[in-house]
Amino acid sequence: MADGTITAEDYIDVRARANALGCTLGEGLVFLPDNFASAASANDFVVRGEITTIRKVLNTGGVASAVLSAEAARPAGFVHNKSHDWMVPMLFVGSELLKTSPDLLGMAIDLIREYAAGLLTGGEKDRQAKLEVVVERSKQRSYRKISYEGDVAGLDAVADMIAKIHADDNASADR
Amino acid sequence: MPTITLPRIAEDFTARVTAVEPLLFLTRDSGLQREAIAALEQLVAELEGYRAAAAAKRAETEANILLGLRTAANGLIEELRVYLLLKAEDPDKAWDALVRSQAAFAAAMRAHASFAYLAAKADHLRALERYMFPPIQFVSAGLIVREQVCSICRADYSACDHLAGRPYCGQFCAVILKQVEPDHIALVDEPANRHCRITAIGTATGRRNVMTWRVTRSKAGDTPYVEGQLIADSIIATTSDFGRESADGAEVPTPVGAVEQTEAKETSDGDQGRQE
Repeated sequence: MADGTITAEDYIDVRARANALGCTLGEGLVFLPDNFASAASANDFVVRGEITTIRKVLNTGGVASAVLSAEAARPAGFVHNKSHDWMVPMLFVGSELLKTSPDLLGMAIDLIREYAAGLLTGGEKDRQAKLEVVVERSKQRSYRKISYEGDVAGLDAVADMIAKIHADDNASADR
Repeated sequence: MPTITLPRIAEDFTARVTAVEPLLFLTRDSGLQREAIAALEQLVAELEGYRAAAAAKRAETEANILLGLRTAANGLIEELRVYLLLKAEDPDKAWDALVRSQAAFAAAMRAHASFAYLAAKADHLRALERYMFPPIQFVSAGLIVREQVCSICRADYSACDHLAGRPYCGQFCAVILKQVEPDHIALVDEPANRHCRITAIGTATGRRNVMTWRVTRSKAGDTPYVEGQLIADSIIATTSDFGRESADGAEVPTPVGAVEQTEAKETSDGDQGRQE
């Protein structure tokens, strides 16, 4: 039985912040650097060490992804935290992607969950997975950060919550 | 080497492990436990030969099962060492053996699904940890890395198809970290690497070993004790942190002395939010 907590909170204007750092957000799934909100420049970006593995997992499952970067900036450093929990780097999902490929995020989370379940086999039972997804709400031009912390089986809850945010967004646009 | 089938190897493994199991208690005779370790080391050597042969003929499943058998046998060796080292009053080394035992059984479970039954052994070792050792303050290091290399194919990890933690033809994939800069150290309740811990704390008269509670008198060069500051000896990283962990989790802890943490409470909230 899945066990985890999920929270949602407002997040900074991702597109404005990316522009200010000289970065262009692609149309697909984009991983944000760990220090996206605070980096002085794109040269200072660091990304979680798990990002390479997760992008390979997604790619193998047919889900393309990118890492936010600026063209002239040096490649981001990888942060390897030797903490107990397994953290997925922060994902950004644009409103256009939610409209054109509403199932893509769910597919991505399924792939991540399947890999994490194998990876965490044999470890302590209380080892947790953490996932943060920033979703863009087109009509309000606002951003919500969904954070999940719990067992691997519960990662699906993130896709469900984002689908709900998207549905609410569409409903408010129709009114 | 004569041809021997995997079922026959597994049967032999079971018989030899079953013979050792009665010795997996603290009260058992140390001489018998040392003999058991020698017997298991012989078993590990044989299994390694079979694993290498299976890997050479690209028999993926067979090689992974043999990897699991070998790592499980290593787990038992380390568990026996826990008891021997505790009886020899060397709890620091006993702790390291316990962590290696836990890592070995966890690795066996990842090697092949047929080792899922070892979850009960993992629970047993966790219970040993809880009841045989005092509470431990763990340390977690954060590293910034510029280059990651695959342990299987030695290529840039982002350019190959191997996935960290998965077995490939009798060998686990690990990410080898290169161009590493330390970023931070945090005190945590649950680290990924349980070798990383505070080993001694400063007192007015010397260093107190957190396992034995004995105080060793300060010597020239030691950081002087200051009331209100935490002066600690700590292991902050091991070879496994750089991706050179063996498939059995048999890395050697690398002690780093006198890590000073003033205002320790400020760093006791784990890794999160400490990178930026």
